[in-house]
Amino acid sequence: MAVREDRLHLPIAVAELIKRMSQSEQAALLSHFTWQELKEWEELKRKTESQAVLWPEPEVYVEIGAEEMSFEAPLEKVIPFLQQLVQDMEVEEVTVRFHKNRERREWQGLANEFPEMLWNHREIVNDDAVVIEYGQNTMYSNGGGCMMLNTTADAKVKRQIAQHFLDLCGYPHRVGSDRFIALVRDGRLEVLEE
Amino acid sequence: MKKIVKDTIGHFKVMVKHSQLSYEPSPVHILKRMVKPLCRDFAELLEEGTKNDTWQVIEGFSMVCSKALREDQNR
Repeated sequence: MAVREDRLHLPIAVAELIKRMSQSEQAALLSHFTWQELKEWEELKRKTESQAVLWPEPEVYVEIGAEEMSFEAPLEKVIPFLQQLVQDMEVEEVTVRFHKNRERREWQGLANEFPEMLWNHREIVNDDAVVIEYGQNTMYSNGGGCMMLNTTADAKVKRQIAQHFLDLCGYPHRVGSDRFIALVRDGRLEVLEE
Repeated sequence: MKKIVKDTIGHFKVMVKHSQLSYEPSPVHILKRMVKPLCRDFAELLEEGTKNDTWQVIEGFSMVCSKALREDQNR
């Protein structure tokens, strides 16, 4: 479980206070604690620092895994990205499963008809769970820009998909690794693994 | 494999995958993007699925869980 930022304020304030003390004041303060307590706090600090990176949700996220890719995209980028995948995976037909008026529906069509389908169903695509089959690859688009692609594509194609995704979101980056994680927070791209 | 079976397993995988990502999804994200699609799949399975469909879904869940545990151990 990640540590939320608002729970970190008190320890940060205490750390700052200690930093401002003179050496003799620090020594006097530390005499109130046992060695075991200090060790436990050091461990807690280490865990807090390693977990703090988990929070909050990023504006953009992309991860290349062994069999799947995960994405978080701004809402307005979802449809362009789903369209882009047709080219990246070089498929001629697409199948879409979705729900309308509480009924399960299926649309099957040629790749060139796909943009119109997405546009006509944009409210569903943007906010609801939709399953899209691009040949052997299945995209689970869960609405709000949350997507997972189950894919049999090779590493080169997966890198290309990640690169096109970041381009589309406005954060161009050359993806050079098969194991890649990047996210955007406060408008800045951070590559966590490459 | 029926499409409803495949989609239910896929939506479960989305949820498991989120537990391994490099950020923590908000409660609203979990509810809207993971729990709701799964709940709808379960309702459809109960209404239209067979016992065999349900069995296949559980088998699929188990495979997703095993893979996630293996990945977790290798981290």
